[in-house]
Amino acid sequence: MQGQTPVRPAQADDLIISCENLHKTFGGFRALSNVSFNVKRGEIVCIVGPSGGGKSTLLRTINALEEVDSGVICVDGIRVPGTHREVQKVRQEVGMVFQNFNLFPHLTVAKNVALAPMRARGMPKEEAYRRADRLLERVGVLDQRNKYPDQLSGGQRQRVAIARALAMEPRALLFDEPTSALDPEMVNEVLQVIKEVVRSGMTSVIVTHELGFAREVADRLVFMVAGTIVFEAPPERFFADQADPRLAAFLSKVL
Amino acid sequence: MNFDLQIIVQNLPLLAKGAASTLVLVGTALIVGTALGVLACMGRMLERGLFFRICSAYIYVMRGIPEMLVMFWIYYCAPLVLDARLTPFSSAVTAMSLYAGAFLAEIFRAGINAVPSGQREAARALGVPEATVWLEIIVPQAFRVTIPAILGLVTLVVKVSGLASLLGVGELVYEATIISGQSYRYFELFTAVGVFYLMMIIPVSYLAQVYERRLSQRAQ
Repeated sequence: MQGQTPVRPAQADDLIISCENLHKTFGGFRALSNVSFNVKRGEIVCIVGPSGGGKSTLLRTINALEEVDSGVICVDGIRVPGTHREVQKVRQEVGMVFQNFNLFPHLTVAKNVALAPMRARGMPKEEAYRRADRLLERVGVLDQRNKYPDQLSGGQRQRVAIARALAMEPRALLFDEPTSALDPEMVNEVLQVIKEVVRSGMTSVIVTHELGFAREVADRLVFMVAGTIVFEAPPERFFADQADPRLAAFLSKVL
Repeated sequence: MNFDLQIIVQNLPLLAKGAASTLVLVGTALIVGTALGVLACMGRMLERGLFFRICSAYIYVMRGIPEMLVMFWIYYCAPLVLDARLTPFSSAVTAMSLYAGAFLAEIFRAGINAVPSGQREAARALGVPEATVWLEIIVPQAFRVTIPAILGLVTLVVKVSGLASLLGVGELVYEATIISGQSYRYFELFTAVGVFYLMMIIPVSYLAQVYERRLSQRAQ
């Protein structure tokens, strides 16, 4: 039956996202080079590293917005890339929050959030809007429900975008630099919302430049340079060890 | 020089009939042209294959040759090619539809390309059906930016419709030609024709202006 999840034994290493030996090039540029990356159910992973290191590309391959040249991706038991139907299923199970919000400018805030449950899950209109209102309240922008995205501040837009991703009740969320396009005074309100979401138990992969935030929320930090994962560790070890010279150099620049 | 308003008033019913015929021509051409435009736009967006090449050639040719030529070609050559004689009206409508379709195809394509790719990605990332991605996300946004161009094309098609008089379609220019040929009142009648055309075009231009103002306000 649709919408029901098969009962599976709870395992300590129950992976929701697994990527093996991913390769991806754009023209001559190697965006991903033999990347293997796993996320456990309930885990919060932050990916950090210099620009052009393949962080966003890795995130985008997970829900098939970007196709890999080779390698295997498995999301909640579904192989990507697969058939159109499988890809769509993965996208329904894995929400995404973009750097530039990408809200639909011609739809009201409430409809931005309610659209996907109605169209992808066939949810009745009233129920979808009720859910939208609940989520908008959760991210603190319920009073903006009838406005259009361009009437909102950047921070409000990103919070609506988070509500939109949550409306599909995904198994995991992918955040692609969610605060990089925001004015400094709005970064915090969005980080607060993300914190609340991840602490509610949502499996999350967050690409971010906010190292303080990453240190606070992440179960594991992943450092990517030049299309490879150089180092990964829980936050305490990540910041203490600085085992890799490239990581030490990066941290010295941003901290 | 005297301007005899009487001759216009006397022939107002005929001119009105011609204007009505012009509107039917334009309306039909725009409806059929929209269908052709959507089809050709989709073909162009395939970017390869036979259908893409047919659509590209159609757009290229229609935009590159005079509309009058298309009308004459269809009217005089259709009997030879199709072994059937088209009426002047259907020849004119066919030619105008082909013309409008070619321009609309490019207008639609430009509109779709103007929608940021992030919109498509955000919609797909939600896992909604592809029909939703296109019909509820991309097309409405594309339509907004193309409205001024579409209205511009509507005025163009209104003006081009005058050429149908050359095939003997009883539209505005044709009626004026007949009446003035009998009364030798060319000045009065063609002035009246100009006024009729303006009455058709001014509301469309006005709409375009209002819309463009609204667009630029929203963008701020």
